[in-house]
Amino acid sequence: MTGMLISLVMVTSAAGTGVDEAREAGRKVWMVVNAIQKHHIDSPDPEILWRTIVHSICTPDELKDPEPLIAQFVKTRTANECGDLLARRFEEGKPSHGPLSQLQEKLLKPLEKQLGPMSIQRAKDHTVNEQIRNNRYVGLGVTMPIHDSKYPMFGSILPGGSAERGGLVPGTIVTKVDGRSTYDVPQETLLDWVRGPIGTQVTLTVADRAGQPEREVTLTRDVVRTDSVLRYGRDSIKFGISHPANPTIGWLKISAITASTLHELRVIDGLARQRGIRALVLEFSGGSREGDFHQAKLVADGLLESSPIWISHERNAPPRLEVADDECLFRGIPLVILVSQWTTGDQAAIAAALQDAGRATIVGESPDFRGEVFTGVAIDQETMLQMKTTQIQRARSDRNWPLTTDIPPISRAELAAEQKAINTYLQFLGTAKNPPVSALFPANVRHHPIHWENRIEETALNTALKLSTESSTP
Amino acid sequence: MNCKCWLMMIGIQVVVQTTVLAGDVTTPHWRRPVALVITDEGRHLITANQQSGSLSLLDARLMSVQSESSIGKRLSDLVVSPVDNNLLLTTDEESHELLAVRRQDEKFAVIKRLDLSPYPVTVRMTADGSRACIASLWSRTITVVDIARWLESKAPESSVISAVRLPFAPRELLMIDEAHKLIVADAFGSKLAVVKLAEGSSDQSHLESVREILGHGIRKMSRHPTLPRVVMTHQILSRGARSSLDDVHWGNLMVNCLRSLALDDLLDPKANISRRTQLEFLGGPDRGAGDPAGFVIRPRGGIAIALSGTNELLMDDGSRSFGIRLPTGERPTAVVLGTDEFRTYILNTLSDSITVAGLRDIVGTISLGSHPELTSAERGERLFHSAKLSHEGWFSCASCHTDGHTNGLLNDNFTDGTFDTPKRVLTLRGVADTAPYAWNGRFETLREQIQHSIRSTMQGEPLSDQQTDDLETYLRTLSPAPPPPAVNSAEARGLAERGAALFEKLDCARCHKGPTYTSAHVVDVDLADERGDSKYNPPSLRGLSQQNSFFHDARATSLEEVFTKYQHQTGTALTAEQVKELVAFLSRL
Repeated sequence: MTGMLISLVMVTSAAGTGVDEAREAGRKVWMVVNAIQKHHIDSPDPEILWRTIVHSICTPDELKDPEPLIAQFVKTRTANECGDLLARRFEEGKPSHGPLSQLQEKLLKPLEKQLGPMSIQRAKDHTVNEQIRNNRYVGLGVTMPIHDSKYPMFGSILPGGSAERGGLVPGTIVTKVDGRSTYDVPQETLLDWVRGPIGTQVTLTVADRAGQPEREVTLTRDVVRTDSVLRYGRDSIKFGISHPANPTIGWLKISAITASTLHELRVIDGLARQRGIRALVLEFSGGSREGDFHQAKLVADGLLESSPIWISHERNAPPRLEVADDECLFRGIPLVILVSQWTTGDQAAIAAALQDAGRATIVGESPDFRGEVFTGVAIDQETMLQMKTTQIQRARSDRNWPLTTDIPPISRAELAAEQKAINTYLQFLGTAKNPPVSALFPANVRHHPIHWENRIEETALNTALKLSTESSTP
Repeated sequence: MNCKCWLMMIGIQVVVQTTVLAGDVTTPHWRRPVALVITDEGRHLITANQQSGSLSLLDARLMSVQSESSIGKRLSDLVVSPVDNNLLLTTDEESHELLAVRRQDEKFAVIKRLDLSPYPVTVRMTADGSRACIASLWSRTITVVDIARWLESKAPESSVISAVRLPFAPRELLMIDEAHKLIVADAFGSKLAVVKLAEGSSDQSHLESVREILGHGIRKMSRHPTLPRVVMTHQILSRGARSSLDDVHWGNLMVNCLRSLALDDLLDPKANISRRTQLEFLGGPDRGAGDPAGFVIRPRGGIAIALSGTNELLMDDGSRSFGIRLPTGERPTAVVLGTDEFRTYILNTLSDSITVAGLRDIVGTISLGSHPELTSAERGERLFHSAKLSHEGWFSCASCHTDGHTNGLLNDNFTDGTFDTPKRVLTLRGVADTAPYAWNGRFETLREQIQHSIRSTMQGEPLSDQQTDDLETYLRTLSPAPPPPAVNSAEARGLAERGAALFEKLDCARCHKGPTYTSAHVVDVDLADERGDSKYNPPSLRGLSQQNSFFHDARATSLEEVFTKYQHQTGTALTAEQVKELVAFLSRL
């Protein structure tokens, strides 16, 4: 999470020095407290919030009886009033904004014990996350993996992006962005240079490989779309939707829940019917850290028929029961959902909704999602505060978080023991004289090392096969 | 300019000239064709023209108009008798009549008239030509007529075999001859009814079932040519999705689709019609398929669908990929298949023309005749039906407000300043004098509301001043939906009189003041939305009898429920009789 955080020093650095900084810090703190008050689902009384803040700026004398100072902060009705309060303290030579300049450490950290994780995020990073969640990321269509060289390198070039149109290839070294040297520049800064509004241009100085002559290329920032639903093995669904081992079992890897996921599933619904898919495995394997619960609701709705999805609790709003409409995708096709520790909250919520409705069998490792939804709330034009705004309650009142899978995976310890036994057996065969071929490859011995992931996949596949047989039995 | 455009332009020029020479009506006028039939083994096309009350006869091979005959006031549908090519039935929604029309050479003459329940909009005949079924929109009635008796008798009323009342306003009809049943679709909402037609003289036709699909805007129903299925075009307004750019772009908010239902399920009143339903999703990101309307399924595979919002013909080549889009005229509403099964004729209701398409391209365009410049209201009507006003062509104003009315569904837009608080789509009929607008009354003028709806709810480009003026002018022409005729019975009138007194006594006018039955201030009605807001702009009560959902979140599904289940702020508990009286009064507004 730390990558997304910045201290208040950065936020207020433009405000000047001394009294101006104090005033700006006061305004910012007030807006944070106000945002928590308005949106955090477990927000305590404002006095408790101010008490934490006051403790970080009290003089030793004030610390003996901080109540008058707390009362002063509680009374502030606007950000400016709070800013003036800190500015006055600064002028009086009392501790003001110093400790507060580290908002994350001094204010949010102590509160996290009771309010859960909170973080300050730059609005521009929030915008990028939002673009990704809505599958309309604006950029050049490249990935920039971290590597050893002091110059950045483009890892992959996404199809349809402006980098591809500009003729860039994977492995391209970037030496300048708009004339600025990229040598040893932190990745976050590089991303800021490369990203920008749709339709704007960026000029890169690039070499196709290290040691090759440099050239300039001007690219236009454009929407880069990526599929959130892939087939088995991370391939595009244009190569098919079946598991390689069995054409009647569909296997979809849901790499994220985005605004396009429902649309993608609708397209696949038609393909599944055309191709005679008899059971479908949905591999929920990651996505946005924040998750998109609006889109998760639409996807769950798309997969369910007239069932309750979940109940969402928000601050200052009555609990809301979400119910699926009468139409559902993959009607008549049994669903298996494969979950793991990589499954994100929005995906886990969908899996739970489908489990509660009896629509899907959940296989794998229980994801660590507790029904807590974190949302970015704007503090000002440049800053967002990420906090818990919604608690999702499961549709079935007798079930809670974390989601318990219907078929848990073999434990890693069991698997290790199994592998050890096989190794010992293979060693024994290796020392035996002229072992028969059938002894070398008995049916119950795997010829490759047993991977835990492979074993879970195998369980999901077998579950799907079993369900497909049951559903086709009259 | 590509070849196709040249071809179209040549087509238009040639045909305009032909029409002027051959047409009966020489002064330029708008026709607004609403129905298209093909006859004489594919040699002729006939259109029923709503605005001019005329029928146009076209030579399909020469692609030219042969004649135009004025026969009525406001024609709404047309069928050719399956047993007599020269006998046509057409409905007139202004004179409220069924007209029997005889074609002789190139001329049409009315030979018989029959008074119908007001606002007849659709007519279908049985395969043996013995019966006609007519849907009357605002009357919420299906009338079954014995054709032979009507044409022979001097007392035409005696030919009406039955009048079946419906719990919704009907439009599209589909005859299932072998089962003696008629499938009736909701003109605005999501209901599908099956009417069992009388067999023999003793048995009366009756309403057999009323069920719902997920969706609204059923613009066309048809039997699959080879499978035992009923296929229909319609839209789905998702109640969970938001009117945001992303939900519009990805088709999460409005789905345009082709639904196929198992005929057996539809005809069996106890069957679940969703069980064997199949949906084809039309359009996609970057390119919506707003307001799918008429369509044809080729017996040898392939579908052609008129997209009445985007002015296109959407076709597949049998592989269901719908990869072909061809430009049509304005608001293509109906499609008929030529007898060669390759050529399709597409009726362009708002440009008085027929587009002729082959399997992959446009063959030409037939103009129905010359017409004057558009008025502001006519320009507004074209904008109202254009999906191009929405982001990427996903939907038009008419998608939710068919005929300016309402689909009665919920839409989660940002007008109230938040998402996740969906509100009921309001009727626009009678909207001219009911300011302020929006559920929270935030817009003082209709103009502001229009601009906001296009920009925010439809995520479209801002309108020009001229466009806003035109749309406003058009909306001001829409009068409140008229009540069904049942409210005029002596009993209903008596009840309504007592209801009017009760309305006054209960001081309902404090929020619903006549003559518009609304007021200019927001009122706390003690029914909170999802964010706890319970203050709303009181909707006008005019046209209430034609609505099937009530309150901001459509929680009540009948007017009675408003008072019984939800006890809407009458200040006192009402007796069953009082509820009846109040409902009778409100149903007449």
